[in-house]
Amino acid sequence: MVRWVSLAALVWAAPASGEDCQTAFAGTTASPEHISLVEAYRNGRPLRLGAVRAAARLGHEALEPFVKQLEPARMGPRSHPCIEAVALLHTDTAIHHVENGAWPKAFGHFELGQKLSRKVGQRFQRDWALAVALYYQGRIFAGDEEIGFREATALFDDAVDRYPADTEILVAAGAVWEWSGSLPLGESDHLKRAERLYRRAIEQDPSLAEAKLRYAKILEKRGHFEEAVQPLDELVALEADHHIIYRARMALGNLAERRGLPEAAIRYYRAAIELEPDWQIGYLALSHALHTTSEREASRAALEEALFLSDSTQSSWWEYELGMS
Amino acid sequence: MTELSWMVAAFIIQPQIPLFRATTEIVQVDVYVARDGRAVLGLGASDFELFEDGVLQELYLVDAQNIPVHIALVLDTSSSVTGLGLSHLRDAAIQLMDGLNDEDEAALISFSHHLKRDAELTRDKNRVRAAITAVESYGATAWHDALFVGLKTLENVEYRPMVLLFTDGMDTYSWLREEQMLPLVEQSQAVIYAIGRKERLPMELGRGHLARDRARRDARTANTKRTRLLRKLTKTSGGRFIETDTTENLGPIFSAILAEMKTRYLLSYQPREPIREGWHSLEVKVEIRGVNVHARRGYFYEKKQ
Repeated sequence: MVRWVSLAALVWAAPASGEDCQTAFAGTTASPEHISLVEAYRNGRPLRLGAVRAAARLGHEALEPFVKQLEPARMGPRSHPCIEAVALLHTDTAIHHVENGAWPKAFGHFELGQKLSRKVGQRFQRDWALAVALYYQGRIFAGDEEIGFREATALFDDAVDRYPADTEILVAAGAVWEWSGSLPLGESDHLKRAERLYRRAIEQDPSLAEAKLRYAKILEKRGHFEEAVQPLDELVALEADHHIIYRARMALGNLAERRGLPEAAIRYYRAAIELEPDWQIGYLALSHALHTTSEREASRAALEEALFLSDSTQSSWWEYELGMS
Repeated sequence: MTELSWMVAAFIIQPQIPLFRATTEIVQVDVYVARDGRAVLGLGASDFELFEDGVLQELYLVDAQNIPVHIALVLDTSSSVTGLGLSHLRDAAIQLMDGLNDEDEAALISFSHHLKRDAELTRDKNRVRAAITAVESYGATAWHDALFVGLKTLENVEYRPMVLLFTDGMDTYSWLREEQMLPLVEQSQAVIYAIGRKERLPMELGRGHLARDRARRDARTANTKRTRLLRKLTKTSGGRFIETDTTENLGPIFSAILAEMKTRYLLSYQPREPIREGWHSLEVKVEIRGVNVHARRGYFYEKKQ
């Protein structure tokens, strides 16, 4: 599951206060219809595209004027849950506009969502920033790479400043810079930024498996093969998620090949396959390593295994690019 | 051909082909000779000179037209090959199937970030045609990995193995790195033809939001990088790299490659010196003015373990 569904988690996490929005919005310019929509949104436990669902009831065109009038200056409510609901409504409306290619409208709603998020508690602010940054990160892989990268890094930079010890933000921010720096034409400075963020995350929490994996991969990408081994060795000793351990074993195999140790690489690849026998890339790596050691029959057999497998969503590149933990 | 690396074969006899003992190590070199872009036909063994590690060899010319081609089609079906582009690709591949002889064999490998062998090496062209028709596009591009699969598919083929690779983007997902590709090609006996559609955006998933100047600059750099590698790999194998702006040209390009395959020469010789392990450079010359000779640049010999 990709990370941008995190907005759903945000909605679910919104506190269900006893205060209703009718009271909170009393004396504002919000009409009863607006307030009902916010109420429905707050209490309805909607999925990520709550706005789309609301719009399905009201029609998309009808949704726009409702949301427009829920601007902070006009609203002035004191109820955090209601503000949170409105912030999320703006955010989901923005997402709806992105999916229709209407970026200027989307930016306006994201901006309002951000302003509203800052009127409520720290936790909500932090979650909002992370969720929207991750959403933008997701857009990179949905074809909006420049906007996605620019907006995600802007939000992450701000979030890193505001929450410098937050490991989830540090790792997620690092992943965007890592993606950019790893492109065939990527800039090495981006890899260095990612490396610094991962190192900070590990300093905060040495048991952070994903940060260790990503840190090691950055070192490898920058040609520091010997240094990259240690964090991976530490990682495989942790009781971490299968997917992360699998990737650590694959990375160790790759490093072994780069260090001229094909036999060790073969052992790592076999160990990785044991962990995730339905993922294609392990067999491909094994097949190539066996090929280089002149074990041609075994190499072909491993490749046959690879080609037998169907694509696995979990093994795919976007799981790594969008964050795993 | 288990104990020898590529190209060094225990030759199976055909009546019109010079007779070799089955235990003899024979080297075959698949050669294309062209002048002004057209095949030069009617050459005999005496028209060629072949040097292995600088030593002139005594050649036999095998009638290549009587020897079946074994072709692995390795086709990019990532998300950027969609709609009309995918349709052009399918049509071109089916057209190529139509031009193969009954004895020729073909396999289909399609790739995105995932690798699929849609049809194993077979004489049954209908099976391959059906597989071509069924390919769908999605995902990222991993042509390094796919080329490895193509070469492995042909590893045990004794005669005329060829890979036809089509890709339309930079490699964004392969496990195999750029520097790992050349050794694979050197160790294979396959002749590789590669067709690359020019990169339109620096990241293949782009929709046009990138700043135009940067996009153009990056696209040029991406093309140069990919082109350089594909040119190097195809040249090393004795094949060719063809770049195109549009998938509309794929039909004529595939047809031209097929015609080239049909007009290649197959040179054969028994090395004068006992073959040592390792790389052996090859140089093929034709004593006719103005011709271009496409032949692999060497072979890698490795004894059975």
